[in-house]
Amino acid sequence: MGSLFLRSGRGLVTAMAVFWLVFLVAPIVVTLASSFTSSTYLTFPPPGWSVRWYLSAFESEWVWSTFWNSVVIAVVSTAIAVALGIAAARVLARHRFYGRGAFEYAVLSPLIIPGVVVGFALLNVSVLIETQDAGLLNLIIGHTMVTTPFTLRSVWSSMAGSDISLEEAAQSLGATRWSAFWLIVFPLIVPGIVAGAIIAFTFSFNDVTISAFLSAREARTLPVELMSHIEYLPDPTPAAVSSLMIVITLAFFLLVERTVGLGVFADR
Amino acid sequence: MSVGRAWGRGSRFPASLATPVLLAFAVFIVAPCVMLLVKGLEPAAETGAWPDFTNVLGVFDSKVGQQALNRTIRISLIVTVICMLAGYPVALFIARCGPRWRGLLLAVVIFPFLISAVVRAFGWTVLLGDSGLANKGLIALGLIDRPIALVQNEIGIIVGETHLLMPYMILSLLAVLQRIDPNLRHAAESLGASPVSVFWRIVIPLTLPGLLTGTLLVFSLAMTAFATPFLLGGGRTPILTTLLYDYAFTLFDWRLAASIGIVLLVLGILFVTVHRFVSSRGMRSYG
Amino acid sequence: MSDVEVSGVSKRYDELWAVKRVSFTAPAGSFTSLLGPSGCGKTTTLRLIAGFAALDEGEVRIGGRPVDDLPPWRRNLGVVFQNYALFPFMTVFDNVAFGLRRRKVPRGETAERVAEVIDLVGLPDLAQRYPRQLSGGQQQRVALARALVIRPEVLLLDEPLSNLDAKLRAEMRFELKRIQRETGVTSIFVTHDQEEALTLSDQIVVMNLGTVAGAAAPKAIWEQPESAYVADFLGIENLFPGTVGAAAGPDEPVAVSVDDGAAVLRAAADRAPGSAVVLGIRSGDIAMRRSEGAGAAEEPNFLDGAVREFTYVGSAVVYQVDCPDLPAPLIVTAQQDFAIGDRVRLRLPPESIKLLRPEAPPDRSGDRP
Repeated sequence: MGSLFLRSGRGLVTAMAVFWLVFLVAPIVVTLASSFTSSTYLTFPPPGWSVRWYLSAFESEWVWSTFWNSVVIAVVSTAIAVALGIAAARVLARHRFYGRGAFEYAVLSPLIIPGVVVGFALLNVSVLIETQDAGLLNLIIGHTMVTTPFTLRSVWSSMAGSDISLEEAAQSLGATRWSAFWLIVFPLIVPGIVAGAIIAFTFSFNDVTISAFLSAREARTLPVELMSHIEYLPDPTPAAVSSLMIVITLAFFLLVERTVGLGVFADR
Repeated sequence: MSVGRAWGRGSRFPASLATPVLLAFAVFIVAPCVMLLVKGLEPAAETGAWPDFTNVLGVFDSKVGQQALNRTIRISLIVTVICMLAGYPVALFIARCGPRWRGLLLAVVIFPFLISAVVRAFGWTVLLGDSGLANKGLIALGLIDRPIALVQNEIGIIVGETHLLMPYMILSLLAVLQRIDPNLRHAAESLGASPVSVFWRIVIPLTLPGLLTGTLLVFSLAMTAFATPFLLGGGRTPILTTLLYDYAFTLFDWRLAASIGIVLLVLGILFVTVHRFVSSRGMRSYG
Repeated sequence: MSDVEVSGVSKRYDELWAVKRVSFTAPAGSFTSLLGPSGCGKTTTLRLIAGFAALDEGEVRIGGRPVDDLPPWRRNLGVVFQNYALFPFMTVFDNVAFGLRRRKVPRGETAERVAEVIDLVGLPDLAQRYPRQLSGGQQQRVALARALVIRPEVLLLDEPLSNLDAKLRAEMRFELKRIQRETGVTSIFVTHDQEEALTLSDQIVVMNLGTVAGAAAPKAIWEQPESAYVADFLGIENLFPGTVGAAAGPDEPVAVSVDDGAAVLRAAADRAPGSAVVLGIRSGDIAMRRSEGAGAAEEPNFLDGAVREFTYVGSAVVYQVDCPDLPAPLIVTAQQDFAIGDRVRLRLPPESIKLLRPEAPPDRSGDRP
């Protein structure tokens, strides 16, 4: 009796879990599948298969220009976020000082402040100092600020594994504080830096919220441009573009999974 | 006494490292937020004194603002409840799987939340549209006889946000589920508890902190989500964040937009504070 | 070879003085142990000598030269860490060569000196292995080699043996002794293990709550510890606070009455009447036999008691004996067998009873050290 109840309970849990797991992948699968449709309108399942919408995407000027914008923004903001993340992680992992809690709070604040607020607040500033047309610069600043918490966390947790005595050993053997950092600490935190950089890049490349506020006319990111194309749904080209974005994200996701593991996402 | 010591020399402020970081955050996060506060609390009349809260309160006096607030809270509550009910079985299922499957399923949970909100919204638009799979399925089941609107309304927002936020709930629950000492289960069983009562009396209570964390996280992120409701809600169902966007870019009333921004900022800080308070208490009582 | 003079060194972390007015001298070529329980400041003292932390007061001189303004990388000290602190992504060779490379030693000489020191510490040919591929004892030797290859003025060792199992620890103790003798390097060794300190050192500095509780050669500190604290740390099992009474005459033992007990014991020591002391006696110095007659012990330094509990330790049996005249049970080591409840008569020889200075724990807070 008990075991029957138990077994049906387990079956119920499994059925619900499977339903919701399918729910989680459904829009991704549907996007991928519908991008290969042969028809000129979007429907699922597609009536036939073709790659014409990918060709159309590759021929579209808007795809290429905004794609390069997105890449430039993601690369530059990731580089700065990594530098800031390393410095902040070093401060938090190695130093104890009055106001350390406030420092941590400040650097992690972009996770607390809603994205719309960050985006709109930065837009206000750029209007005030009349740089609102420098879209690329504004986007880089915005993306840097919201991705630094990710690089900080990732680098910080990799620093936790490196004991201070390693640095002290290096120093006692004649390495200055700087060379002890570069020769001993840096090689140890490379995985954390790589993971943080990938997460930051992925976030920046896919971001809509901050970009929606800071994109100027000539500096739109791919997701923002895609947004306006989806609103009208003229043809399935956006589906092809979306699928390409999924593939790029998947590549980075697998890179993280292979190098440092999925734990970096799980410990929030 | 020195194994794993992390602290370095002294307790001086590491100025050369911390200053650039602090400077960046002061200029590009703190200052803009302060400006937002200044703008949002500007007096409406020229004679009024700063701070003037009439604008911020006015957000909720107007019909549009009040509706947006109610809708935001309603949607967030619904999404949170769905995430709780859905996240629990998923987390239990994943925790029960062997290591190989667990890795794969974890990837299934984590991957969607790296995907751009636009792409996901696009997928949902296709799925939930008039000729989408969802409508076809409902018709096939005989629940409806012609397609109903599932996007460009609150349903679309709820589905999209559930998809956006469920991973947070699952991961919060998994974090506590995986920390449960299997000996507790064995101890309870050796004391005569059936597997069913082990589940209700041991597993469920031990996952409450994770459930609480997940709930707070999902609710606060639902309250402040922008891209998903913007893309799936259509123009006629504004919530606070999309209303802010409308005020900023359609109506060009930046003072009102700033006022909404202040409300969202306060909400964000409030949730984190509650979360910290709750989780520090939770730590204490659950060791 | 250089001597190390630590004079009046104090270091504060937040509200507590981790180290307070610590002074001692490690003569050139000697082996000095800093002995004490965790939190006594011994590791902090070592870190101050190494330059990993800046001292708040006092001075450290190495070879007569003050070093307090020198960063660690200019002090030329070898440091062996408790967790060895081997660089995990470098081979054994690269670990050992690290210090030589920082000193821009030519390639050929580096290889020579590394080979030499690897031989000195008794490592087999493992130069291309990584630390994680080595046993604990091998890692220990690599750490030693890395510290010694730079020909340091002083070798600092922070509990280097505490992560090894008992057998390996005993072996490494001999090795450490041999290597120190062969190199003649001035060594300062931090440990919480009294046996380690006794077997290795020329001098033991016992530390307590950030201060020096006593410093002497192992034999001296073993036979005549200065204070009750040092005695306790060196494993004198029986310690009873007492008060000195009048001596029977010059060169006669003084009578000491045990506080909170009826016992009055004679001790071969000179103390002013009325002074507060702590009586200490090792468990092995007490003679124990079955008490025959019922009459109470009348002779001096005899006590009657009953066996309460015993543990067998291989070479002997350790007994806990309840004595009505003492405030706490007495620990006695004996070769013979007694059963629980056996009535016994104990003799505490006056020459074995040490009169120790009772000690108030030092205050670690406050603005001044």
